[in-house]
Amino acid sequence: MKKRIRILIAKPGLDGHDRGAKVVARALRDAGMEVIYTGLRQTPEQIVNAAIQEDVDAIGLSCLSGAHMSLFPAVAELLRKKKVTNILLFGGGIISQEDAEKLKKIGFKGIFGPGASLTEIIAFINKNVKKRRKE
Amino acid sequence: MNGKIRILLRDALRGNLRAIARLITMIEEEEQDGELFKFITKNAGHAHIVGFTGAPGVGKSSLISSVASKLCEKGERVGIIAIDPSSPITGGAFLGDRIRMADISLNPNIFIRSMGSRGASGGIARCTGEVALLMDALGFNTVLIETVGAGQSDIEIMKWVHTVVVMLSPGGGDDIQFAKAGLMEIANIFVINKCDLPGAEITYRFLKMELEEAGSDIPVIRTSVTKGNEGVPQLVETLTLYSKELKARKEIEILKYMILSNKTKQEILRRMEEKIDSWILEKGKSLLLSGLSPDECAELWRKENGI
Repeated sequence: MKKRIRILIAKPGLDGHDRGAKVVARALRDAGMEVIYTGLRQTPEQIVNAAIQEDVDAIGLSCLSGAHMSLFPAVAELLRKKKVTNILLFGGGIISQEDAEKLKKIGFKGIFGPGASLTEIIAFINKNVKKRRKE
Repeated sequence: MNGKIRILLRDALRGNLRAIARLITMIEEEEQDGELFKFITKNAGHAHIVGFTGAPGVGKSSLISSVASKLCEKGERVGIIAIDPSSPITGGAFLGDRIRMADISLNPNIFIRSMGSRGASGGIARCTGEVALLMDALGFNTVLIETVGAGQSDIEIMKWVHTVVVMLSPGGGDDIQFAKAGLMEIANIFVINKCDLPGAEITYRFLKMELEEAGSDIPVIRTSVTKGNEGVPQLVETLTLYSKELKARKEIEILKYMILSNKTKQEILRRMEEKIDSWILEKGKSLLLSGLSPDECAELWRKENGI
């Protein structure tokens, strides 16, 4: 039996704009995935804890407030500390090309800005989760 | 014993969250070997398993969060299984129950797992009971199960728990609704949540009146999570009392055998189904073509297999 893909979609920090996160969550649901949505104002600790308990394949972070360079690395760092290496990280929001490059270096495989297509995000997850499961 | 399972069980018993989560996934994906269920059969049968059910938006997640928090104050470890519907079309699911449980999400004595219903009907997921037993076997004292938002005929939960909490909210109907069969019959405890809202008093009176007419002494507890967790201590007290009574009557273990019997039945059915499918493929079609009725074919199959 094919294991169902489980994704945690989370909004770290104080940013309250969740339309993007919810649109992505619903698209992933429609692509046959189980999406756990944590809601707003989550700390990196809450996000990592939820991801572990839910045994997800990937965590998607959404941040539109400009705080992504402190919040995203905090999640990556916490996963490293807890020795969680099998969870795929991706993110979205108002993120400059320069920041996106930096985030990719610390483990965010995909960064999706305004205008990114849902098909692109779904394809990215399918491809990378499959790859990880084989490893 | 399978090495991988042994390590996972050892870590899970030490409270390792990743190990617990992995074991739950193994049950959900039916990828476990018999060892996991041997462990469950041996070690489960101590926890009080409670189902919370009611219409979508009645406040199940929020109330469970408050109840879990209170139970932890009493020194318990609490497992939560929160079920939301899976899409019958894509199989995907939007699992949003954690949103209302943010307050307890870092409590080291609470484990929350969201679950898609994955094609099961009646408000639960196929493996809900089995996952509850796993939590039980791992030492959780209480397991709280949140059903999919339920309608009048979604009563499946009663088969998988010791205690059913049926939740209502103000404005949800009059005594005629409460007299209807189904959901209203399976409650061990009624909760009228959001009792800070207008209409709570009349809903309470309608329900009390109906219960009185039916000669029922099922408790009705009024709660409000937003208004300082009003009524929650009373609900927790009632649950604790029920748990003690179940243990005193040695009834707590019965559920384990019911769930495991059901699992056994599923396992038998799966094996039978494989056999039946291949028999039909091999012989059934030609028998039907030769003029036998489906009933006659089935009789023939029964005799051939000595059942």
